[in-house]
Amino acid sequence: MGISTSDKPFLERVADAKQDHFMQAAVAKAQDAQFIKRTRARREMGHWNDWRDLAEQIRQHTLKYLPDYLEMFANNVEKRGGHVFFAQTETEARDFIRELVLAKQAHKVVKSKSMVTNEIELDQTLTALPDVEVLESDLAEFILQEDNWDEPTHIVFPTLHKNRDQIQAEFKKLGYQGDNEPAHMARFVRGYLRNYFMQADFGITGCNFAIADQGMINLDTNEGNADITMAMPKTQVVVMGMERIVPSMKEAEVLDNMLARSAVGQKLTTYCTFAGPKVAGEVDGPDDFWVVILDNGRSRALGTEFEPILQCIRCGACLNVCPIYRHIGGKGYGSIYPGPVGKVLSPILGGYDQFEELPYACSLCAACTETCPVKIPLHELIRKHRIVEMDEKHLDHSMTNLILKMVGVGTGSPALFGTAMKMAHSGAAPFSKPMGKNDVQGMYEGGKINHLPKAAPKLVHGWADLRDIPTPPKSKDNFRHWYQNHHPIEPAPAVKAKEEKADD
Amino acid sequence: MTDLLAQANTKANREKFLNHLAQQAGRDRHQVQPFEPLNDLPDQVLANQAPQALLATAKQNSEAVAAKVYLKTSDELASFLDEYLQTIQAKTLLLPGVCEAQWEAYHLADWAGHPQGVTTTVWSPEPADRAQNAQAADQADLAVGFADYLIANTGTITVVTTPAQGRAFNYLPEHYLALVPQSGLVRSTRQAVEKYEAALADGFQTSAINFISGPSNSGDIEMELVVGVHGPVDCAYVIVTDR
Repeated sequence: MGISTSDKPFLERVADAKQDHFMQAAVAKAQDAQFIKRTRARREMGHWNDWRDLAEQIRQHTLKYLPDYLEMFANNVEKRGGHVFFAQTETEARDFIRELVLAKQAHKVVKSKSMVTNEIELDQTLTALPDVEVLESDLAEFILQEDNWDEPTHIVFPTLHKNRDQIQAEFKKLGYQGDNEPAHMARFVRGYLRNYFMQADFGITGCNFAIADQGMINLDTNEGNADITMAMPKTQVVVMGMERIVPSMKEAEVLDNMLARSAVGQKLTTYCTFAGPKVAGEVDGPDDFWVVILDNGRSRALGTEFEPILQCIRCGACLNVCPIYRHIGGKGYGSIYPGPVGKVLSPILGGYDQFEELPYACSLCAACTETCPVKIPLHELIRKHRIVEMDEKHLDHSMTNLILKMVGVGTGSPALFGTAMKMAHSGAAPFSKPMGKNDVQGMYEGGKINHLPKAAPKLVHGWADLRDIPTPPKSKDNFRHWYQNHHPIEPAPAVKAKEEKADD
Repeated sequence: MTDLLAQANTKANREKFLNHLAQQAGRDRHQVQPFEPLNDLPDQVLANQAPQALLATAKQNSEAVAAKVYLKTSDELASFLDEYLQTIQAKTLLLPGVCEAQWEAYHLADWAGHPQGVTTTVWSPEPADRAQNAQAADQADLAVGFADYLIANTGTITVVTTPAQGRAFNYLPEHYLALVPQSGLVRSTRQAVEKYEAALADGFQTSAINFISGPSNSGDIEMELVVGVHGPVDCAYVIVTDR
């Protein structure tokens, strides 16, 4: 499966999402609440666009010299007594960590939130081992795990699609007896996980930023679970996408500030930690420190027009402004990376064949580009995917040809075109609904097309089911008719006199 | 089982990967230039605030992240801590295993020797005592630790892992209280990072530098903010005004 979260075709996923009214309300509420928090936090920071320029520069500089910074980081981790493994593919990364768990004879693995470990399906791999338990310690990831490893639907709020009653039901299976108050449920998880933490012998974390010149990793959390994951077990594995690196703590610090403001509207996450292997004399922390640096298709973006997607710091702000995400939620995308960032990243990591629809699940409104703290031109990259699909992959070949042929025939003959303009309104009438109470004035004056017969060609359904298409106006109301009968307003006498004078 | 583990830290594993990146990018390796930031915004954060205003800002921002802030002189500390233990009804206390001189710098040598009315454990700097320290941290109602800096802009204290004050010390106890000298008041995360970078360059050794802003929290259930998830449920900064 890799980054894919669903075997269903895209349209089926969208249809499912349309039925899920709780999810839609939750996403809308989250987007609106985050808008207020994010905007406030950014305004408070001041000179937001100059900060964005700086953040973009940091990310672009690092990507430009990526092999050099990775080399510097690896050398420094080694100097600190750690080990670095470069994994080209998800299989290599997964097998490596599995071998390490076996070699360390670990039985209780504890994880903190990491998208990359979802990407390499680490949980499934490790839980399949005999005598190995795995527990996610981030509250949201823990909830997903208890719900039979449900997939995350947001990169910052993975359980956005679940309500408190569903969560309560999952916790009851673990012996929780309280009500559905989030505070009470969180308290229960604290106790449950603390017992596990005390016995954990193998910790797995992600990495927000690797610090090249120190050989340390930088992690941002609000719960403190990553720090406990780095404190208790004697072995720690850090799994990081190869692009998650910066030259020094100074650049990490800039990005930490921007990440927290963009992701959750905080100035800084509650815990922001720079850590490496245990230093001689210290009592806790990992004796054994391993870093797995993963490519898994990221290098396909290097040196191409898609390289800027590697600037991403995973704040999720683009999801929080996306009108498509608002409607179809995370599951609609079928990738662990949903939203605008997912539309760009998923086809690169998972291939066009698997994610060909995603670049089209976009209105090109550019809200994502506008909000991105590291200035990734997201909507332009989405458009570039479409260009690649049309020009090189020819994924849409037959449909586009057919449409254009019909348009050619229709517009090539004045008689056909005239008839079409006359008949469009009455022809569409049986499939249309007159304007409803909540319709946007103007756009749907003549009503909208929304009840096509089942027998209509799939192509037509494909268009009409996912979009609000206005009914064509009556022939007497259409633009051509209006233009024919339109008389320009006479200019005011003074203006006229001036114009005549100028003509002379 | 293959030999994947043996490939870690090998030149072959690293070179193959990095050469592939250079080739994909179409850029040669080993061309790295120092990073020259295009603006100095990080240095400008709160740059115009005088020390007293900065302290007020620090207090305000710390309270905004739900940290409790107290200003005390070192002479007031012992009685303040006794009171604090009573207020939160602590029965178990965890203290860092620092030398007496460090306590005395805060006029706390007597207090740390025999805190009243609580079962006290001192973090053992012996690596062999790892499990025992972890148990003590897990059971502790309150940990009283030393912090280096207080960051005004974000309401953050910074703590490093040392033999005397380990990682679990800062994360497992139910309540956490940090003693931070007022001389450690800095404007921004940038300033704190610069100080740590200088210390590390000078040979200071630590495996973890922690920036902590208030108590542990989460908004993972319906985005409702809940305080106290894995780390301390409550966090106090005591700014020692004469240090």
